[in-house]
Amino acid sequence: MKPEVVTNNSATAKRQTKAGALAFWSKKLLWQQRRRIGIGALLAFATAAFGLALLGLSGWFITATALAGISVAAGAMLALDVYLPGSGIRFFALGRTVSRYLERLYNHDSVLRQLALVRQQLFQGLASLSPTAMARQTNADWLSRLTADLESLDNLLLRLLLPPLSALLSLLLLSAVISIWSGPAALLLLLLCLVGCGIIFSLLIRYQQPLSQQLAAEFNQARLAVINYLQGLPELTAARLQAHQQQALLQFSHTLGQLQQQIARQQANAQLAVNALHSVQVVLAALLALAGFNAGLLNAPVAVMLVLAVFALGELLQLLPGQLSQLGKTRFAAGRLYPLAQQLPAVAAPVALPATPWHHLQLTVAAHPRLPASQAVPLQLDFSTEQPWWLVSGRSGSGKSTLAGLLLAETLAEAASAGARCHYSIDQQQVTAAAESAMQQHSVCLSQQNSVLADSLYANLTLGLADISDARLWQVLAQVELADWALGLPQGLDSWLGDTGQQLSGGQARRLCLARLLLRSPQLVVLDEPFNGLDDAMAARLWANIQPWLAGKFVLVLLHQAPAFLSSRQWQQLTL
Amino acid sequence: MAAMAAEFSSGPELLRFLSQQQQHRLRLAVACGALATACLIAQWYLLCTLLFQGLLATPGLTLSPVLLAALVAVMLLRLGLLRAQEVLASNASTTGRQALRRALLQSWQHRPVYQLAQQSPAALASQWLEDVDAFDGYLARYWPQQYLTVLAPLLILLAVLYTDWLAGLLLLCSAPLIPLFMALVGMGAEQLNQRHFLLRQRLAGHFLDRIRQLATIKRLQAVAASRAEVASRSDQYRQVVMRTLKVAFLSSAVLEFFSSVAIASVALYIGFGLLGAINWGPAAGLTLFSGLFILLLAPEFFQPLRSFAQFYHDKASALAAANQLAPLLSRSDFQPAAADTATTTTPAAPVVQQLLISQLAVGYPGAARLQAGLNARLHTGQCLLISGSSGLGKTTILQTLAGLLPACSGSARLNQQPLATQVMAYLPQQPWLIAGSWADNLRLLAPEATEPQMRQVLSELGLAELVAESGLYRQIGEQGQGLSGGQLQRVQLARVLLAPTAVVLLDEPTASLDNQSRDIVINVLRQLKPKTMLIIVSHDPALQALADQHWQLTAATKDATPGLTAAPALEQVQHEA
Repeated sequence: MKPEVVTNNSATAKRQTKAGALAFWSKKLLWQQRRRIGIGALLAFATAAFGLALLGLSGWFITATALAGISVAAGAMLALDVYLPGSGIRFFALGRTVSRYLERLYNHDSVLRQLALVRQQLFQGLASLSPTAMARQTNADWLSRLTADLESLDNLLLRLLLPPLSALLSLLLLSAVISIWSGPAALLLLLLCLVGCGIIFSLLIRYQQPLSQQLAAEFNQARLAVINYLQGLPELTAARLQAHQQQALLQFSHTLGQLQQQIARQQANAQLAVNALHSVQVVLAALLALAGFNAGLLNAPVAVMLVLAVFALGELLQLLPGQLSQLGKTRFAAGRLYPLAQQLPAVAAPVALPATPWHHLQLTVAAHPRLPASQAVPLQLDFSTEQPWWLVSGRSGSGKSTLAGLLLAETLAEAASAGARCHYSIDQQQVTAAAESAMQQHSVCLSQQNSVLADSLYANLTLGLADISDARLWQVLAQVELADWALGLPQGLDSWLGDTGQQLSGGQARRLCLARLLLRSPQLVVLDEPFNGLDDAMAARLWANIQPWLAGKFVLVLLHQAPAFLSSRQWQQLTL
Repeated sequence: MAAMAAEFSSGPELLRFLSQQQQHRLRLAVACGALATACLIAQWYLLCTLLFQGLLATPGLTLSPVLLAALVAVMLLRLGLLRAQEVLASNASTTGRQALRRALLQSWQHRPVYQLAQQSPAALASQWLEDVDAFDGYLARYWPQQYLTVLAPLLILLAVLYTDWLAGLLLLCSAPLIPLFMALVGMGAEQLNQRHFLLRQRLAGHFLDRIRQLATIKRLQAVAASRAEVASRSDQYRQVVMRTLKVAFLSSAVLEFFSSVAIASVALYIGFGLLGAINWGPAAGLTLFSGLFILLLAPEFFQPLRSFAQFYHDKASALAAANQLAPLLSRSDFQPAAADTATTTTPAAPVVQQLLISQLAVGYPGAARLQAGLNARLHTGQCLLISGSSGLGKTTILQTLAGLLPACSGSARLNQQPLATQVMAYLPQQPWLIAGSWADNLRLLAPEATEPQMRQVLSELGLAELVAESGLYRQIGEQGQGLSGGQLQRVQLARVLLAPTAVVLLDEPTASLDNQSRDIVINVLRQLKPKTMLIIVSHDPALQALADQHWQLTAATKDATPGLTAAPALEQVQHEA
């Protein structure tokens, strides 16, 4: 009974977050910047209003001149001021151009400001994830989806808010103008447009929403299927079953096509309906204007002016179906980004950290599912001032990196939820709870993957540090034998590394990552496959170079195969 | 046929080919669009007639119902045509993209597996999904619009010229100016873009780079600093982008300017013409009717060009995707797939089959060869064991035999047929599993297997607990802990037992297994042996007992040249009597 209640609750919670996601981002991005958004909306409205005025006034002008021309031809005096409307026409033409330009510029600036906000929020959220969750979310595929989602959030302002808003404001303005001559006619046109658009767009959203969600889901499934297929290619090729599996992928391709076509057709339908609505409006406006003219409510130039202004409204309405059909995609993106933005930075409870220097450090792991060596009997790593060196070896997949994660206290919570029992003690003090912050402050780790930031060499080395002198940097670069290389760089320490700059070889990147650690003085050093990508001679020299730094620290080295030069040390050894 | 196999040399060529394939629908879409423009002209003609009659000609006259009906009919016709245009173009795009996806699958099938394996599956998947979808805008919008941008204004121009040639001339003169100014602005923007290119690229990539390196950043306690950096770089990025946009948006301002000014000048020209202030040209013949008609057509004259400018970035993204895909595709990939050859080449295989490996040399293309001069003769019921220290090419030999990698020289033939074209089972160290049920995973390589067969085989393999009720449909590795090494190997063997093949290639089947699993695996291999040929890479002494022949690879065998000596690669060849 109880588990069912829980799942129900979480299901409703999920639904709430889905509905709340768009509201959350709207609040975050639109409401917080309401002044900017207001100005942007005013500019958009001005552009639209100038457009209506331009055509309306032009219509008025030619009708008035036509009438005046007829009476002049009949011998009357010219009683028409042609200069004021003439300059009005020029003003509106120019005004529309200028306000369009300003509007686009201003609103794109707003969007880029929003992007900066979202990026900070997401960065914070992602940074507070656990290492495993983080690893899951920082692969190439996930990142490309993140980019796409971020782009979709642009729609919020540029497509979902501004165009409908400026169309609505223009409609209200137009109705107000028409009501000068006839209130009922203005009301009729206003209601027709509001009700018509309301029906069309709510239908569009209602029918398109599930389809675009289905499309997004189908897209993800197809992606998974393609990845599965590619991963199985060796086995499938040997078994000549490629074509068989491809059938499934073709089926996905077909379904995707069907859904996309359905969505396109719905949008075409909405477009048709909006165009039809507008046509009806124009004909109705023409009929009402004629009736008003015949009834003497308005003169001919005003009649033409109003009809043309209603006609000009079409330009605004026409764009709406395409823009509003971005809602599904935007909502989907908002929903996906929402949980990331919700992550709060872990509030570090004020815990008393063990005083440094440490004399003894002990980790006991029992029954960890990914660490086979801990399953039968608990696994114990014991560091002491007398015996501070541990060498752990084992083939890939035997749990070396898992063990490192535990010793760094990064994955303790996950291990506990997977059923493992971990105990941490520093200087005979149980610190399992405080281990994470203690380790964060007093340990460094050379992980298996090299990580080089797309930034200057200086920024790469001093990441997370302040006030490091250049001399100190050159010193550690010499220790990892990168000083000559760095001297040869065009801009020395300011040279840019990474994709758009200096490319590093695997060995260089390895040494750079090591140099980064040498600038710190931790209590515990974890080196995961430190010699990856280095030849034996270089590895041996490097090992000798860092001995002074390692002295007096607890050291854990993880290797799949220990090279001979390591034997100069008294190791405590463990084979996984 | 040879001509059909031509590869696409460039992205534009692929785009052309795809649109040519959908030509039928696309041309119809253009025709619908052009007809819709004709309807538009008729529509405004009728509306102007209505207004003119009502306001000037005969005041107080009742409206002609025929006129009104005609107006409504033309409007409806135009809307129908527009919808037809959209649907046709979107169908063309969907069909085109489906053909492209099919072609990509075919090209994957034709490429050697090792080549595909060098790219990340996720990247290939996004090629198959996102890159293909990037063609949508090009096919559905850009392609029809590039014709309509010429056709529609031309029709409108004709109507205006017919009504008043001077007003027509006015429009005609402004039309070429627009692309001219837009091109000038575009060039300016491009220049600015180039100047800031590197800075812009670095700023744009900053956020994703930091996300990618987040683990390191967190370990080095640089989260707060990096967050501040994300904020400041994003702001710098905004400033750099805005500098370019200030110029780039001028191009749309140019469009806006010309269409506004054209409306304004047409209106002023008509107004003064109607007043009688212009005494030359066709101005004297202007009436309120013709004036209104021209005024209504003026904004429509520029509308197609505006749409074209909007769709232009559709083309840019399609082109970027096409440049990615073109080198991978050839025209023959778009042909319907030939009947699967594998099933046709194995008619009534003999009970005892023969595998002949002669002077085989293996290695990755473009790299040094790893082993050469490999020879063996095997028949059904025999086992070949390959051992040697790591890096000598044991796995490479298996991959070559499986047809994943071309042989450097020499051959492996099964019953006189090249082995690489035959059905066999290849069991790599890390088996292929998908997130699905046990049954799904077994069927991946044994599609014909029935449920009772699966239960039978799983219980033979000591996985009986899974055969329990509904076990087959339980998710594999449900607890998120994955399967143990022993279970993984047994899943692989279950697939072989369900779909037996003449040759079975195994890579380290007993490595890192607990004793119980190892015994089961060896037992199954012993049972399997009489019915098939086993080729096993292993160090396990227990498997040596199973072997009839043994290749002990050494570094020396690397340098052997095929055909130089009889069998230098075989340091030790055992033949059981």
